Amino acid sequence: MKHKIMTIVFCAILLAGFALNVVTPDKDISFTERRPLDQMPVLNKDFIFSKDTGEVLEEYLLDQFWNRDGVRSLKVWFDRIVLRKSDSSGLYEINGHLFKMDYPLNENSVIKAADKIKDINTKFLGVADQVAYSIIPDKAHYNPLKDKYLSLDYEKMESILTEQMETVSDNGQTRIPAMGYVALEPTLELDDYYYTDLHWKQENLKETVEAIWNYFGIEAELDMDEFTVKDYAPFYGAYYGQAASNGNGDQLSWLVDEEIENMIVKDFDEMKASKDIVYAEEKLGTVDSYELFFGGNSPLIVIDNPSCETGDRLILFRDSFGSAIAPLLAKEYSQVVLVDLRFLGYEYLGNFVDFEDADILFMWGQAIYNDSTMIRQR
Amino acid sequence: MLFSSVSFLYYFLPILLIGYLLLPTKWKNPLLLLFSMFFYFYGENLYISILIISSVVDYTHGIGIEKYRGTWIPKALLASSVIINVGLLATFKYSDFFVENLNALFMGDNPLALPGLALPLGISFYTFQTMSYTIDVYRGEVKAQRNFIDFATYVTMFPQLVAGPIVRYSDVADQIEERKRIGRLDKETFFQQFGLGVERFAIGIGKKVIIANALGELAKTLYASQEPSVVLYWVAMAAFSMQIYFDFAGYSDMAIGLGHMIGFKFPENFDHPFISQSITEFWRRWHMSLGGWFRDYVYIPLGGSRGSLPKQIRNIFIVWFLTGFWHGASWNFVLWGLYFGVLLTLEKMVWGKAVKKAPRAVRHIYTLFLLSFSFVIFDTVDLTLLPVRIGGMLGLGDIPAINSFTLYYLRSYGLLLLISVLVATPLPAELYRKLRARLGGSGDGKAAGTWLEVLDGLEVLAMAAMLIVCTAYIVDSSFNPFLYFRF
Repeated sequence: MKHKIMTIVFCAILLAGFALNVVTPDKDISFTERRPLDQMPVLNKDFIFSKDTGEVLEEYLLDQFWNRDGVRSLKVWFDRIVLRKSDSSGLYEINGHLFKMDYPLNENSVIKAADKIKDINTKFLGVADQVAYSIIPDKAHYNPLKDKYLSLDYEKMESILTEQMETVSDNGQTRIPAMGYVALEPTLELDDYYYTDLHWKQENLKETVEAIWNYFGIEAELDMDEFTVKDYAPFYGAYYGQAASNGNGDQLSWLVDEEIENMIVKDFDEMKASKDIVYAEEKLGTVDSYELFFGGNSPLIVIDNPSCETGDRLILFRDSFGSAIAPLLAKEYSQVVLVDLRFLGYEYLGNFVDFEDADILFMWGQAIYNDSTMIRQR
Repeated sequence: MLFSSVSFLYYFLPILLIGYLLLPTKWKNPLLLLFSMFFYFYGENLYISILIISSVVDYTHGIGIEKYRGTWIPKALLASSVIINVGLLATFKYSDFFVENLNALFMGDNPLALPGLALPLGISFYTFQTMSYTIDVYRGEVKAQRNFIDFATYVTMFPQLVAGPIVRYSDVADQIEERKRIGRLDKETFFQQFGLGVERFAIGIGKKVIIANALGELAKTLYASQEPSVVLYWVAMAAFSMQIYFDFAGYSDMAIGLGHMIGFKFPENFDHPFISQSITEFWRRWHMSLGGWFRDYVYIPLGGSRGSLPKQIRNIFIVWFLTGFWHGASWNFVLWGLYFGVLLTLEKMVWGKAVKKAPRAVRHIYTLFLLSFSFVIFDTVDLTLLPVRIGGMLGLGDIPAINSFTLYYLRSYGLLLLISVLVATPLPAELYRKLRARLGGSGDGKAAGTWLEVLDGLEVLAMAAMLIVCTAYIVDSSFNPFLYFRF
């Protein structure tokens, strides 16, 4: 009897899997994984007799597997609950927060990042008190159980950068900082980051914005009461899909006031569909709702703030974290220029950016310092 | 196509089984041949021609040998079959290796271009199978198969086509014929056979997908670490050993299970090798179909353990050089084979008797200790890393005993490692057997029967859960190759 039932159950699972996969319509995009899904290839002679036939079909079948997200979350559950693994594919969850293990600290990469910053400084800048760098701590730095996991050592990264950013005085006796350092770590805590994403929340950046302003001599406070807070939910962050999490999404909030609404944005990425706007609300509910901020990544964005008549300018070398903070920083500047060196080689900056009398801040997340090949020279 | 793939589990297998169960008996072999050809074509495309060449060669050679028995022709045909099959293997598997070494030794600044041929899936397995067929026909141990469809069904049979076990024609010749003769199985025999196959398949896919893949990732992560420690090298070795065992044994289980489902009984390939108490015993329990092949077609024809001592040693080293080289076109595999050659020679001629007399625990430790290094050699294609890894295990060099990196992975994979060690022994099966015996013999017959039914139900549930969890793992990964496909 056992073998009979075994046979029936086995065949039922196979046939159910077959039927569900055949009947379920193909999807174009995986929202949780933030990527287009492979589509059924055209079965012509060239494809059938190509050397990649099996591989391409397999990728398609995997992408279009029935209830793919649900099935993947079973694997994560099994890893965590049954096998007691600390992480599943490098991701883990503590108190609802998803973290990604980025490890180990690549000291050479951090040194090369410092070299690149100094190179830019030498080529274009050269005014120490107007130039500063900072590190946006990885969310895992605030993990309350950090000691049980592997994460990038923030303090070590900070000390390497500090050391690299010093120059030796003429008499060789003392070391002088080549540029200033804006410490962001004390201004943040875990809940300033989304549960399901690596990024920080715009509505929690008051202290961070003020720390940057203060460094550049702007004695202003960000009055959070002035803003209207707009919300979108559920926001499924980058880790949500990777972790195949079953948890709830986040609430994505953004701050609006008249001053921000009046800002004039010029986005130099000609390929972007949503551009020249601070908040691209049409991006909400798309593959990456975080592209709400300026419509997503761009090599160069110039924000003019007609409400600020000081004439002060800020050049922000930034990664995706910079998108959320830029509208807030811009409230005390007449112009903010966002430069993303992941998409624009710094050798060409002279053609696009005027550095004269501007405050300049290099502000990247730990992941960029740890993989500084992303900072393009050409 | 891999067994642990969506295309196999949820498209190929259900369609095949529907056809297989519905079609009249006489169509089963042609259907199996058709599906096996598709199975191979799906992954290897035009390389299917090599499989066909190998099949046609040995089919015709077998008939020729039988037809001209008593003349010089069978010997010539045997030589021709061996040359063609070994030639295919040499061309597609070893040509890059030969050219690389030729360049390194003789070509200086004018190296020859590497042929760069992709390795056809399972070529090491099916060439050995077809060769064994021709040799067996030559020896008169089996009759030549006159029906090409039946012969091609044997060669291309998808469960064992790409990663073994190496099924000899004599193992399945009767089964290929018999299924045509006896027609449909009675229901009880059919469910018995199919259900056994399902059990075996579910266990195999679990070994491969849940244990081997995860431990492979662990070994890779640890070896790639810039923070070595003595414990790290031992854990990496253990993870790789378990990976290679569960990968290959899992595949063999799946092959055997699928064989049962379609009415074939394939030979066993592994018998809990890690409980061995000597290296000699290990090789009686590890990759048994390959060991048997080299024993019957190389070692014994060379003279085996007869003749003078130097001749016996020569025979051992030839076999183990070939065994190593069969596993891959790289010097580490040759070194791995020769390492076993040395150990087996020493066990045979120097300390084998002393090992037998040693306490059981000592025999286990002795065997596992020597095996540890064999797996490191097997895993180290870049031989310059070998002293680093073995030195690391022995605590040589300036590395700590353990560090936080090692501890993290030990903690994270501790349970899986423990499970893998347990499953590698007969203990779980033995405990389950005892449990069944105890419950089956408890109280009155009715209660015992109920208990056994509960256990049967749990087995079915476990099989279903295993299949579903493995599906989740497969869907979660985009690329999931079997290790043994490169051999």
